[in-house]
Amino acid sequence: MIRKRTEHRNLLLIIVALLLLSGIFAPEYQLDLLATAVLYGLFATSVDFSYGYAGILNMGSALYFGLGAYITGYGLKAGINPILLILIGMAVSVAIALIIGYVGFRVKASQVHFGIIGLALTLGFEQLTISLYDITGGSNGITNVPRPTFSLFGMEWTLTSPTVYYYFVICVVLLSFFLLWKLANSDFGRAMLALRHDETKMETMGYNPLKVKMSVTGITAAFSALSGALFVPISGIAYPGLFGVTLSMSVLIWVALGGTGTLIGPFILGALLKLSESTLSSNFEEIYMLIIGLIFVTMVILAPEGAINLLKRLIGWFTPQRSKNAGN
Amino acid sequence: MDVFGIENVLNIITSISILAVVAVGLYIIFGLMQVINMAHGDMVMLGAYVTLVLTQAEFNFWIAALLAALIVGLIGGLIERGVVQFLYKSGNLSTMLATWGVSIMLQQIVKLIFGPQGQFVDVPIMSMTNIFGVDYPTYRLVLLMICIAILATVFFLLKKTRIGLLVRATMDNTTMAEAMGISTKQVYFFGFIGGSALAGFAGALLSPIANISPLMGLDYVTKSFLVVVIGGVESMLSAVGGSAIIAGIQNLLNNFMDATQSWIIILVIVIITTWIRPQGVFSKR
Repeated sequence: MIRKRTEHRNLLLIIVALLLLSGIFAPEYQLDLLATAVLYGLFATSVDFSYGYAGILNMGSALYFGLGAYITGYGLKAGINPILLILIGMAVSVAIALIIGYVGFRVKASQVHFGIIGLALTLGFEQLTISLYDITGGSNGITNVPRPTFSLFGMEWTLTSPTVYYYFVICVVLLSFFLLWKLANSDFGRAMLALRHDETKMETMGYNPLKVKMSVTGITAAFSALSGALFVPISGIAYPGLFGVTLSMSVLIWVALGGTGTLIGPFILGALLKLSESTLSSNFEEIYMLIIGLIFVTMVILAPEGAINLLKRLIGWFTPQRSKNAGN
Repeated sequence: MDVFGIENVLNIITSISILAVVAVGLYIIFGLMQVINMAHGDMVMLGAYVTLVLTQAEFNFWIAALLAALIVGLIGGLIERGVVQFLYKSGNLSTMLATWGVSIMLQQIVKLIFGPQGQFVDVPIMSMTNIFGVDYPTYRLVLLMICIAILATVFFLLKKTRIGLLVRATMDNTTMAEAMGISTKQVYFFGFIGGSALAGFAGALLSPIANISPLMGLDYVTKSFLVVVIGGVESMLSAVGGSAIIAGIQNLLNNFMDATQSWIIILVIVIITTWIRPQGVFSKR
C-alpha cells in the first residue's frame, strides 16, 4: 500500500503554492476558514501517521485535539504565554497517550480493544468537560478566546490579524507535515511498517516494538494537540464537541478515504471536507450530513484504497501509457 | 434515596438487564463477524421510534414493541446485505467506518422526519406494585421480567438448539465451520438480523421510560462495546456479566456523583481491567 513518494512531492508543492497564494489574494474571513481547514488537515495527517504506518487504530483521537484546544483556550483567556500553552497541551496529550499506549500494548490488546478504549476515553472527556462547568464553561465551552500575542526570540509577535495568523498557521502546519513526512520515510518509518507487517520478526531484528508503538502514539497525540491548540484562537471558542466521537470518527474517515499511509491524502480530504462543511452546511445541514454519510459508505465499499489513490487510478486511465520498460 | 433500598436495587437490576439485551445483540454480531457495528446503538433508537409511530397509530404497545423488533431486525438485515457483507475481508476499520456512515444516515433521516427534540411514548402500565414493601412502577417490573425472559431464551437458543450450535461453531472457527458445510454467509446474515432485533426490542421497551431522540443510540453503542471489552466474548454470559459490571457500577455511582464523573470511573475500571485481564473478566481465554 506504499506508493511512490515522488508523485506526492509534486502534489505537496502544488498545495504549498496554493496555500501561500491564498494568503495573498483571498479575503480575510476566508483565510480564517482556510486556516481552520488546514489545521484539521494536520490532525488527519497525524492520525494517518499512527494508523497508516504502524497500524495503530485509535477510535478516539479527538481526545488530544480537544485537550490542546481547551488548554490553549483556557490559558489564553488567563493571559498565559501561548507558546507555553501549546507545549503544555502537547505534553499532557503525549502523557495520556503514553499511559494508554503502555497499558494497551503491554497486554497486547487487540486492535479493536485498543480502539474501543480510545473511543470510550474521548466520550468520557467530552462528558467530563461538560460537567466541569466552572472551568470549562460546560456545553457552551470557553468563548471569547483572544488571538495570541507573545514575545519570542526577543520579538513581539502580535497574531491578531487573520492574515498574520493564517501565515503563522501555515508555517507551523507545513513544518509539522514536513517533520511527519521525514519520520515516515526514515528508518523509524520503516520500523513502523515492520510493526504492521510482522511484529515478531521485528523483535528478532533487535527493535523494541513497544518503544516504537509508544513513540508513534505519542507523536500522533502531540500533533493532534498542536492542531487543536492552534485552532481555538481562530474561532475563539473551545467546545465539548472538539473532544467527541463525531470528530474522532470523522478523522478516521478522512484517513481511510483520503488514503491510509499517504499522509497527504487525509490532509487534503480533511481540509476540503471541513471547508465544504463550513460553506455548505449552514444551509443544508441535515441533507449535507446525509449525503456525506452516503458517500462514506459508498466509498468504503467501492474505493477502499482511498480518494487519492482512486484519483491516481482515474488519472492513469486517462493518460497515455508509459513504456512498459520505464520501471514502475 | 436509600442506596441499598429496594427501589434503587430494582433500578440497578433493570438497567443491567436492558443493557444486557443490547450487549448480547452486539456480542452476537461482534463475536460472529468481528464487525464493529457503530450503528448498533441506532438499532435501539429505531426500535424506540418505530414503537412511537405505531403507538401513535393506535397500536397496542406490546404489539408495537414486537413489530419494532421485527422491523429493526429487517433493517439490520438490509445493512448486512447492503453494506457489511462486502467488507468482511477489508478489516476492522472499514466495517467500522461504513457502519458509522450508516449510523450518520440513519440519524439524519430520523432527524429530518421527526425533528431533533425528545419524544415520549406513554407508559403502557401506569400502576405501581408493592414489592418487598415498597411501591415500584409495575411497568419497570414487567420490563425486567421480559428482559430476563429474552436473555434466557437467547441462552437456550444458543446452547441447546441446532441453530445455536451453528452460530457458536461459526463464532469459534469460521473456516472449520465452513469446511463442515455450514453456510457462514447465512449465519452472518441471520446473526446480524438477530443482534439488531434484540437491540430494537430493547429500544421499544425503553420508549416509555427514556427520552427518545435521534442521538440516543450513542450512549448504548459505546456502553455495549465497553461491555464486550470488559466481559469478553467467550459466551453470551460474558456479555451479561459485562453488562452487570458496567450498568451496575454506573447506576450505583450515580447516587453519589454526577453522571459524567461516574462515566470517568467506569472508563478507568475498564482500562485497569484490560490491563489485569485483557481477555475480559468473564472469559477464560
